[in-house]
Amino acid sequence: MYRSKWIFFFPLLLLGTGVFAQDDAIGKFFSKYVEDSRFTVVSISPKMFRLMSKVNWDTIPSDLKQTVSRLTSLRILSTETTPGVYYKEAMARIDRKEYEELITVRSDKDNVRFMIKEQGDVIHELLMIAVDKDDFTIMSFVGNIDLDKLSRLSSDMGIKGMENLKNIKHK
Amino acid sequence: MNEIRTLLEKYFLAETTLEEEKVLADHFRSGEVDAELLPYAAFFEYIAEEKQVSPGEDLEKRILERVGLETATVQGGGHGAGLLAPVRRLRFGYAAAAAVLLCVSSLFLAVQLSSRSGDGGKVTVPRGLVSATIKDTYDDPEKALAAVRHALLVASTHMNEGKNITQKNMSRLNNSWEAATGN
Repeated sequence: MYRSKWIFFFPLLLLGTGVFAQDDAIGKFFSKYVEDSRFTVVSISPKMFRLMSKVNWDTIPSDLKQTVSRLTSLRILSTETTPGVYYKEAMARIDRKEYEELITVRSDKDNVRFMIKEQGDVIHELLMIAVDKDDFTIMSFVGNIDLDKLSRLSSDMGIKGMENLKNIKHK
Repeated sequence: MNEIRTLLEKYFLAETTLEEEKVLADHFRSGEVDAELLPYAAFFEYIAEEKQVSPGEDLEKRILERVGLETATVQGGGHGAGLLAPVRRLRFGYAAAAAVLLCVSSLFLAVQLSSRSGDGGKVTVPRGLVSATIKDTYDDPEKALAAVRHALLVASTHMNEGKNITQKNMSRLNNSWEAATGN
């Protein structure tokens, strides 16, 4: 009788390991292309964020520290193949009932959209979807997101921030 | 007599009240029935007789026995006492549920993993259910932290691009305004 109870709970245990589940529309988009060799994928799970909090933070500015400590996951997908196509697909998959458009910056060179998922006053997820003629990137930050702090991060960095932007390489 | 006929008509239209039916029944029992209405007398007599028949107190038990369900006194006790014990308690209930759960979840995972072929086909997954999982890219938290910082910086910079463009244009607007109003 006791053994049967363990069998019952075991499948549930499988869900709580180092990987984490994707169950929203953007999650499905990530899941679809995660094994695709045309895409660069970065995925940092809640478990890894917890491990990160134990790392040496001495050299890290406090705004950044606070921002990172409130995140629970990060997913990035990026490709240089037919970026426009994937941009359209990603945008089509985003449910406008769940995600609200925050900022869109469009120039002749690129198009960057920020969308957020709010629960009450708290921003639970921030999506950045960026496309230019060579590149498509989508980033999803999940956690308790402070937009103010986030925007300060790069202005704190100042010139250095802009240089970093120019030098962005896909990992 | 006409009264009776009227009532009879009502009866066969199922419009009579209980009292009216009683009137009819009494009438036909009384023996003073019109020749025309004699067939109805037999009918009402039959009805009256049927009303007397009652199933007896152990009807429930007999039905259950026929159907093959046991009562609460057998097989480890069911929910609620009484003669109507609806469901027989499964001895291997937990194990059965566990087996079903295992089968369903592994089937589901199998479907997910196989549909992740990236061939542009439609991924139809019901919302809210656990779909495929993504592995951590980094094993080392320090590397992961570096990646997070990098990503935050990119996002932050893009966000500020918008702000800067706005500010730039706002100051241009201000300059134009000042020029126009001669301030």
